[in-house]
Amino acid sequence: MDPLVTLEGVTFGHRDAFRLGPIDLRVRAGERIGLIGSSGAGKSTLLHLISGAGAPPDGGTIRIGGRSVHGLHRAERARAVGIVHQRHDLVDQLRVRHNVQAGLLGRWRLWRATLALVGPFEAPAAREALERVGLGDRFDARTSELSGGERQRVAIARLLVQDPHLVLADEPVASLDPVRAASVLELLTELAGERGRALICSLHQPELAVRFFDRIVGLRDGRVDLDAPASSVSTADLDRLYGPHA
Amino acid sequence: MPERAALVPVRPRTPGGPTRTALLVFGALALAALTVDGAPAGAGGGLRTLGRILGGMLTPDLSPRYLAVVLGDAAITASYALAAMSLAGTAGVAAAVVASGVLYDRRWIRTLSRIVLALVRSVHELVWALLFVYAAGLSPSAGVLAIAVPYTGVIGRVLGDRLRDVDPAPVAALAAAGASGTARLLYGIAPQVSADATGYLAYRLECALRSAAVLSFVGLGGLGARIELALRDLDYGRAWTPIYATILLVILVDRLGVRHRRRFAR
Repeated sequence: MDPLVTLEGVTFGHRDAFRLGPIDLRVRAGERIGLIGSSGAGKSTLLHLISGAGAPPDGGTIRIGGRSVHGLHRAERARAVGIVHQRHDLVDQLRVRHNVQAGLLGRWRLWRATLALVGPFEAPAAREALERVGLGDRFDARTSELSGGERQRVAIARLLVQDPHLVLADEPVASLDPVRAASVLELLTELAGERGRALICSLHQPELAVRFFDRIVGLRDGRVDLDAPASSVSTADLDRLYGPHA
Repeated sequence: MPERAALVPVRPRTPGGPTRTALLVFGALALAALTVDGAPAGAGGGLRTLGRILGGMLTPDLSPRYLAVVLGDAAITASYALAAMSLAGTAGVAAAVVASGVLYDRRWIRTLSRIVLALVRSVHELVWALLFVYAAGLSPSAGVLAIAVPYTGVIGRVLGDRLRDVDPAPVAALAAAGASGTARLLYGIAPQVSADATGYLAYRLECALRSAAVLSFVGLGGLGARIELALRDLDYGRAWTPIYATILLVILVDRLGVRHRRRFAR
């Protein structure tokens, strides 16, 4: 089976400053990858590149479903890949349902988007997604009233509605306590697995990565230093990745 | 923007120093301003007239007939202000979107629209009124346009800056979800500025009321004309009734603005 995502010789950044790559990576549909590495190893940069939302890589290609992600029209790109960040994903002043329905903005025509914002019109998919993340009762709540964990769930509900083939999560649990972090990761991996989607999730804590993901990719100084099934990742691997402990 | 204000570090105040110097300078300037025509303000017959005017402040003409007349004037002034603000609000918001470049970010469009906005707002509404009255005669549309044109410039400038000042992260997230420029404006940018914009437009309506009252001196009817008429008759009691009406109108708009602002900011 052809891989869903292919990175070939991807490089980014200037010679004197931080440089990422060259990176080669293949991700099959249904795979759930934990992306680890110390701060500054390039995790966020890599995810941002794959998301296709910013500048293209300086070298190499990033393909999703066989097509270069930076060449896609915004609506096509939204079907191919979606990203959830540690925070700042939501518009505080909107109601929760508007933030969730924003996942449909790539598909909706403008009149429909406007109607959904000012009218009582709602997308059934949005309510379903909110129920899926356990926030069905907050459909009409103001986003600013939500806690950090709830906001992260709303961001995930938006991704569910957007329903891309590849889900990227950039430090989604960095600001959550361990219990909430675990439930958010469970949710993410479960959703990616059951829909045959792929998930790449960057994490600060390697122990969480090993616990929740099938495959671990470790970055060190902008290169892939570790790529192995979670079950075979050893303490020595992690020590190498994060450098010797002081 | 209370959130923004909270982020500004509070600098400990140094007693004396620059603050005291500034107060002294401003105090001296204020004294100088009072004697700007060479004589202290209120010298000669001015003081007595001032006393009569202040007397009229305490005894405004509140007879039902005059009140009905003033009420009619207030309605004229309020409708000038409302009509002008409907125009300036619509055109100003549109100009703000263009000038901010949130939809089509082309440098020359931004620069050009900024220049146009600066030009129309640097001419005072009284001057616009004179121009329009000379061009079109003493018609209500001359008055409405005289307010609407410079107000469009101010609103476009202020809201345009505010639009550029939003938190970009939620907007970027919308873009990543496939939202078009207009959808990003609707879902990401407009919600972030709506509370400020509503408050600002309400404040501008307040200003428009005052401008409309002043413009009626030009001969357009309304509260200002009524004030001028009473002053010409040296009937200060009658002059104060329309002044109070202006104040009441402004307070009314202020209350409405506060309520709407709260509704958006909640």
